[in-house]
Amino acid sequence: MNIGIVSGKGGAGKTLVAVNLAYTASKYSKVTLYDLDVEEPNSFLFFNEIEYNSEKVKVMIPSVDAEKCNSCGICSKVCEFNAIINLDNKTLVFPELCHSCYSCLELCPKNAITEGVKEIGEIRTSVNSEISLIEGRLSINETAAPALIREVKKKINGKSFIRIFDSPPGTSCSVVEAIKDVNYIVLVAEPTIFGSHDFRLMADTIKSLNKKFGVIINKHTKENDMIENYCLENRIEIIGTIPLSFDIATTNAHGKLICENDSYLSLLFKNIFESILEKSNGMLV
Amino acid sequence: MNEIVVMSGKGGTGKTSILAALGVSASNEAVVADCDVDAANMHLLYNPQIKSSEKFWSGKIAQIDYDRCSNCGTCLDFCHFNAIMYKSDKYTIDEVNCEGCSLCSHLCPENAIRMETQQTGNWYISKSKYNNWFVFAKLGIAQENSGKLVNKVKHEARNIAEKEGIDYILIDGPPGIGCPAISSISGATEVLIVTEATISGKHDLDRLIELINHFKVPASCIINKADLNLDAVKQIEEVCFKNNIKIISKIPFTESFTHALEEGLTLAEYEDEILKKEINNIWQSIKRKEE
Repeated sequence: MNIGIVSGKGGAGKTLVAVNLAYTASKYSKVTLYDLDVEEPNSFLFFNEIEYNSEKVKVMIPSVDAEKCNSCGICSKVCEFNAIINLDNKTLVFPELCHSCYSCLELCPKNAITEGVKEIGEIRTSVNSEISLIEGRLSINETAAPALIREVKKKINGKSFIRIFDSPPGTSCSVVEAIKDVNYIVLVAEPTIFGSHDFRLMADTIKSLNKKFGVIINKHTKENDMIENYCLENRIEIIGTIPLSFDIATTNAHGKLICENDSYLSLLFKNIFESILEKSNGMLV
Repeated sequence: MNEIVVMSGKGGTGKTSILAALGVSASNEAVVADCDVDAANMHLLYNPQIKSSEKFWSGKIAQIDYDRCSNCGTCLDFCHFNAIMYKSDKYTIDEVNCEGCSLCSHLCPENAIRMETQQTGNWYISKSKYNNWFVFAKLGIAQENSGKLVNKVKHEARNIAEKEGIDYILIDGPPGIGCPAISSISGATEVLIVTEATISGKHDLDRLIELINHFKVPASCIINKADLNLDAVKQIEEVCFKNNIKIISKIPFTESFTHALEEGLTLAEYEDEILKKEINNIWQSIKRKEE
């Protein structure tokens, strides 16, 4: 089964939940943790000195054969992304704008455009680790996050029955790409006015995708029940709460798993995992 | 004109809290723009009086006209985004997957596919309750092209600054280093980094600095939650020193960020006097530098 971890607001605790949930789930079954927050992938940092293989991810960009090109300008007319233009009888390609849709290539009347490549990032795959990890890492000054996420999701690292997807923040195209084929979504929410605003946007996004989901409230304080109330009113299930605590923040800040040496938090994550299994009718094997 | 964009790499470092407070210190000396259009938050504190609002149209989605469709399947064969499905003897568009490239529409032999432009968001020009011009936007959920909406917001902010003779534009940037982050940074005169003393914060800072160096924009840095991990602070200081980035403030982990937000106040107004003073110092140091 595939579990997506999302938050809307950045810093709400997605990666915290993803790494601790993966660790907990690995006691039950084989797990692969996918870090799909490709702009800022952090999950590997929580598993000590991990060894990994790396492979580059490339996508198609148009390559123009200047001899065949008669500068008719059809490519620039059909490109919806302004990635290819015709200027002074020359056809120029802007790789950073290209969406690899093949329109220019298919529609060039002179067959002057062929498949070129550009590198958009890399995929790192862990070797010999207890939990299998797969990470997407977008190249600097590259915008094709959704394309990279698509490639990372295709990757398989050994047999695993549970796949956990740590998603990017926000509610736009990258997040949708990360979670559109999961069985269950864990929405991590932070009970501040910023956090609860973004939480509601994210809840709407998930509903628009028709996915089952549950909420984990992170940085929870007794004084603040805005997320709880919203969940109650809208019949959204809360599957766990993690308290606001300097100790938890410090442990996490050092790249340590908060559930590893703490009996309360270890039980908390065990309960969260079991309730995800129950809600999603997930199977372990 | 000084265009200062606040960036963080990692989300949740306190970027928006700090920028919102700087905007209060600056008051009518600065136009404030929220370019975190994916999850815009500043309007929740700024209580904006909207002066004008406009719809943002961008991106297309394919629509099939079934009176013309001959079920030939050309669209399915050529689509590179898995956006055409064949279900119960009918081709349909998966709107989530459709990239809006129009290739199917060009290739359809029956001319049965039309591209429809989508309204993907709204943008607003307003006056905040702190007496500054405030430009912000809301991207619809699950939408694309946030980079273009960022450009729109920045463009409007510049127009106002020019028209009103205001020297500073303060921009709340998005997290990450991808499409909206790149749009936010391009054209800025300075980046103000808000990082946090965690291993994730440091890791993401390294990538952000690479992006900033690519654009050759000068930067300064605030380390938030500076008592969480002292090793991380040391590493952040080293990487900033190497890249000629001045650390202008260190702020300890404090619940004041949360409590101020609970009361709907910015850090420039909340009862934490030390933090209030620090915010004012940061604004003064930004001004001194630009002068």
